[in-house]
Amino acid sequence: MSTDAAHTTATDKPPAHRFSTFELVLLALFAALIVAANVAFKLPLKMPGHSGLVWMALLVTAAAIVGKPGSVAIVGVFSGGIAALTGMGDKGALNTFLSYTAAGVGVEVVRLATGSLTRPLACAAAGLAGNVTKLGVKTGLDLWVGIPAGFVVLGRMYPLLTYAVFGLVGGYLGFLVVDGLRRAGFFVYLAEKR
Amino acid sequence: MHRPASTIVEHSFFRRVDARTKLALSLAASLVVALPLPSVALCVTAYGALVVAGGLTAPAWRNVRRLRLVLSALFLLDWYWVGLSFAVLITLRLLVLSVAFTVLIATTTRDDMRRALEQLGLPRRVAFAFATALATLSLLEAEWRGILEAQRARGLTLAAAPGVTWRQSFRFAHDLVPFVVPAVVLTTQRAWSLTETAAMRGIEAPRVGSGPSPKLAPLDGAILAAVGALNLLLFAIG
Repeated sequence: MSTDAAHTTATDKPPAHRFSTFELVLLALFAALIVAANVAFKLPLKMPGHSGLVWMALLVTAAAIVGKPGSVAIVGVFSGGIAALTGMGDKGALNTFLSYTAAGVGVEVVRLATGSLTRPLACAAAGLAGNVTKLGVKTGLDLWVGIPAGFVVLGRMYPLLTYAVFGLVGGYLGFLVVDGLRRAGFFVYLAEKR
Repeated sequence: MHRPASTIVEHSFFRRVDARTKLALSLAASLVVALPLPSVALCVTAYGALVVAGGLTAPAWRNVRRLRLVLSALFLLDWYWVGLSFAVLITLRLLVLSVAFTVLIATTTRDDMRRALEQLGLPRRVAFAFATALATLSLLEAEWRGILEAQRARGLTLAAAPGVTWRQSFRFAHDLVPFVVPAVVLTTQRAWSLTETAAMRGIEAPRVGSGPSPKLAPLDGAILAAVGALNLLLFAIG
């Protein structure tokens, strides 16, 4: 009986690279939290890309909580799907889906390149990459539609700067959030739950 | 809640169409954006007829109305700098992109979408997580608002701008921490209780039975054939 139980546990336990149901639900809820923040948590800023502040912070936090490769990209894809299905964005579902996904992929790339997002500089770089990749996808779609490159480049110069700044600050905010959670014993609590 | 259930257009015949078919239709319409004016115009006519026949004029118009300023400005700029036919082409392409997914979004419930994702090969746990996130969106919005109210009541407010210097910008990030940390903790707790509920309902158990049927109805077959033929024709004539 005990041998059977041990065998079942060993075979049923997902390999380290696979996501448990808790991790998948958590990543999906982080995705929904990002979409909800874009609706409910409006900051008193009138600059393009400012939504990236909380957005990038949540992506960096998701990377810290679920430290497996691909986790932030999953949050990006989920948030893109949720935002597209809830009719967010003003340039259609495809634009919304791709830009939300790009933000996750941008952060994921920096996370993979740096190993882990534990240092403030790496977090800020991840935020920068996520927010700028989002803008890059929007720009790419504008060019794909056929809008003259001159218009697109001129129109995106100021947003590029603000997206970069908000991405950097958002990534740093992510570091502060993870640091705050660590000090509060959140990760110990999470490990016990798991 | 951002998109209440009432925004689903119940009377549309697209409610009887499989979500996978509507996804294919929307993607096919989006791809036409890469083609020249005659093909885009033909696509707009065909897709517009489907939208009207499906009783989806109101949701499609909502999408167009949100873009009206951008469309008008781009149309005038393109007309002035390049020419009228180019301005029409860009406007039509942007129109197609903005309304291409209306058929899917306005007539597909969350459950239909979850089923379609499973039928498309998405693992059941992933489809469940996605559907759960969609269902909890309104709760999370309420939680964000609650956190804002609570922190304001404690005297925490946000500056109007992150500041012009790096120091001010990073100070702004520090100010945001008390707003984001509670949201993360509440979300993790919710994820844990949802996982426990799902485990009790057997989400991790092997599926009993064959699961959702991947077969399409004749109506879906007809729509897919028509869409496939139209796209082939459009790409053939370039």
